[in-house]
Amino acid sequence: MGKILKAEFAYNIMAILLAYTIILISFFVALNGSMENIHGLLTVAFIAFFISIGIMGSESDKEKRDRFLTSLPIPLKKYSIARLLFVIFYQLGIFSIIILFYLVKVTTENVSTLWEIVIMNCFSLIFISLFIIFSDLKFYRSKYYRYFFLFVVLIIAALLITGMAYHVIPPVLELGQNFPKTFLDATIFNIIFLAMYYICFIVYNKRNSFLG
Amino acid sequence: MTNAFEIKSLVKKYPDFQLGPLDLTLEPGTVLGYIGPNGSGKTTTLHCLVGLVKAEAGEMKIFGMPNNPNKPDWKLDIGYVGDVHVFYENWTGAKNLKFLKQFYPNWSDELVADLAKRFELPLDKKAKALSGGNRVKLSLVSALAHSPKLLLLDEPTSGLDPVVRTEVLDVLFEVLESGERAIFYSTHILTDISRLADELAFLNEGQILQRSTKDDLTDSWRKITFKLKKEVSKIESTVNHLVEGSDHQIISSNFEITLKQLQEHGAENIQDNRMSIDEIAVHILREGKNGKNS
Repeated sequence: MGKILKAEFAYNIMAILLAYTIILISFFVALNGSMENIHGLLTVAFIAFFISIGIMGSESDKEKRDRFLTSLPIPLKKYSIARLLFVIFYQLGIFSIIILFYLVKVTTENVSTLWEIVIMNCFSLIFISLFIIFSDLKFYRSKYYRYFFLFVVLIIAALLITGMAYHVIPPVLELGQNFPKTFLDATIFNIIFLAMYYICFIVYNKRNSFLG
Repeated sequence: MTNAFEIKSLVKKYPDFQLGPLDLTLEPGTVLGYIGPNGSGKTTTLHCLVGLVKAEAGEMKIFGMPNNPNKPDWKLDIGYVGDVHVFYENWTGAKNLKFLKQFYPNWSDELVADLAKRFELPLDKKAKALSGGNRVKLSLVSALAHSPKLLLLDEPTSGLDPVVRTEVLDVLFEVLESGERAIFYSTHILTDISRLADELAFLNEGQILQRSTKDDLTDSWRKITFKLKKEVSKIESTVNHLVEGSDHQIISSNFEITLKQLQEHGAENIQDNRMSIDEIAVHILREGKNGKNS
């Protein structure tokens, strides 16, 4: 699994470095201002992450990377974890830059901002997981099975979100505004993120074909 | 002795095609040519065997180990060259091979260097810059570098021009002839494998029509000409029968049985000619198709 991760990071290093460079530039620009600049930094980070992951994912599809790597003598479950860890570790690097900004600018009134950063981090990963799941569903047996599975995933996601509506929706809608976010909000988002990535793992392993 | 692979009751369904139920085994050290027209299921068989596609039913084992994707030790014993040649496209051939080496304990850099030299394969070029022929060669080097006991080749020369095709086959067969490995070579071009194959299995529309050794095929199939004035209702083992007056020409799938019957009928001037593997294959596949349609 480590060999695959190392290879994927090495192979995509230019795209990763470009995204990090953009985020670091924003970081240094934001450092000159107040803590409020965190929102601009979060927005730049989200966009850079989303675009770079989209490009890397599309290149991987074009090169049929799954087909290449699943042919190797490594357990399928390990490979499916490795491809998810790539996304998570990449995002954690971005998260680290933003946390660094927070640590430089932190005051006793900024605790809510810490949870906002965590929520945004989870939100980015959850957002990408939907694309990962939908992309893997293309390799299922029939379109009816695909649509049914997608329907189930959306229902689960909706239940998780609406079931915790008071704690979850306001933080998402209020990102960038000065409503306090809590440790509970951040925890719920972490649970949703972990649940979605577990679904990604299951969906990948149940694929009918690895020819893509 | 454990078979190189065993396929039992394999079924794979697509909207307009079904492979199987299929049973097939390959003995160690045997070269089996898997012959069939386009769309007959050759590639699907290989995809199921190497785990790229999940079958609806059936059991597959490689050297006695089920082809379980989560227990992939069986992959260490195989070298697979598929219908599509995939690599890290922005990496050179050398870097791709260096990446693959990490996964195979039996990998030999000396063997890689030797094969690359024989194939005249430039390892310093990025994979995306390689020509079709060189991509095939890189796939072959990747598959052979860890000295697999079973080689699975899915039409490796497909799409190559005749010059490159000959170049690849000459080196490939030189390498394969010197080893003791089992080889499963799928193709619709019989001349690709007839030189090397011990046995041939013919596939059409998802079903195996026949499996025989090369010698059995060439011994039993004949083109027979004879003279016979009287009409005969049916001659045993006849695949094709042309008549012009009292002159007859038949294609027989079992020369001995046909000859005996012709002699009983009083046929004269019986002359038989051996057929090439290509001619035999055409008749087997055509008969298979006609049998399905009737």
